Amino acid sequence: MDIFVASTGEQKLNSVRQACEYVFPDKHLNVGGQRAKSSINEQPEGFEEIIKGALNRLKDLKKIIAGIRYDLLVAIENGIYSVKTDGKEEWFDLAWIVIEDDRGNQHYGHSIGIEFPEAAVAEARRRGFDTTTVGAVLSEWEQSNSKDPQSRLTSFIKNRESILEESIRIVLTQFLPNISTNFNN
Amino acid sequence: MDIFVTSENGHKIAAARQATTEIFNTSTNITGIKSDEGFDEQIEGMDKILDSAFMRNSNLKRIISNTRYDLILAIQEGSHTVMINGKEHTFNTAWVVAEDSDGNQAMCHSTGAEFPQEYVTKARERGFKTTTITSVMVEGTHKDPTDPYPPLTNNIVSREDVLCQTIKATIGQLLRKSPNLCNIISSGSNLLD
Repeated sequence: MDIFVASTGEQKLNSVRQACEYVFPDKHLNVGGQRAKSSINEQPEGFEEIIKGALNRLKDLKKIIAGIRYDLLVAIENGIYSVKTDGKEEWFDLAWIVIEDDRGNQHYGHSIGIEFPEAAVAEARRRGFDTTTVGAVLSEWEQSNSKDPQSRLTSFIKNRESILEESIRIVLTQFLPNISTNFNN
Repeated sequence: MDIFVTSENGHKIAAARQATTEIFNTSTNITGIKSDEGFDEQIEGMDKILDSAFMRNSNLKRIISNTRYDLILAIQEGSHTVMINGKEHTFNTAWVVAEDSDGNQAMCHSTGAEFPQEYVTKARERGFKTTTITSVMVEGTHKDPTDPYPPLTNNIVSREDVLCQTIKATIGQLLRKSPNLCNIISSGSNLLD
């Protein structure tokens, strides 16, 4: 199976590889990454912008690999959104996943949502979401990995890679009834 | 370790047991108590699902009154809808609220698995007050009407797995605020650095 990921980030590639191994245990997998543009802010905010970022990455990936055959394309975009509870705004980080097969069928899903401290969201907003992520602010404040703030925020019980893998797995399963028999080994 | 879960549902209890055993590595007494009287069967919207989880938490504390506990886990499942490429897409998700004996709280929602829109429409027509999307989806089959994941994921993922990972993430966040829970974690654990 030939799978392209709209990113060259190690966490995203590993999570896609692991999810595919889980869902398609009998397939030989070629997982490759391409640096695809999201064409949105560095720190996306709200479901609409996050999903748009994933769809843009998918579109850009298709341009980059034009003419190359594939079975699946995977685009992942992390972002923040808020929920109001008891009059208070709480912030969460999650990833939206878009996966497309060679016939243009798309399936979607999202990851678990991890609470982001409101002060870090406010600081990233002050610096500008066009250039600054909340993860970058947290990495300054807590000496955490800016690409994986989820690890420290969950006391190292979860990490970004496992979080992505679990959500990609669910989206992949939605292709099974239609096309699993058509994938090349 | 005394843990209360805001439901008697077997999937939720099993997920709570697995998550807390993995994290705390100690014997756990888990008690499930129904705490959603009067709720709609299908809760719709992220805000409402989270609010309902908090209501379950409050209801449970009222029910157990002065009983001692180390951890309360409130779990509320529901659906939320987003527009993608101009079309409605509806996802199943669960919110978890965890609270320690000092009142410290943390929250997290699960992965979102998409429902086929035809079942969403049918359940909405019958009324979310009495009808869940999952119950419509498994109609005429012998599948569990409280677990949407097997039919949505070709039996690859279970509700228990999804909830367990969400509970672990929630407790992981709560540990940053909770000295009492950190003390319970057996010595030698290196979860917190």
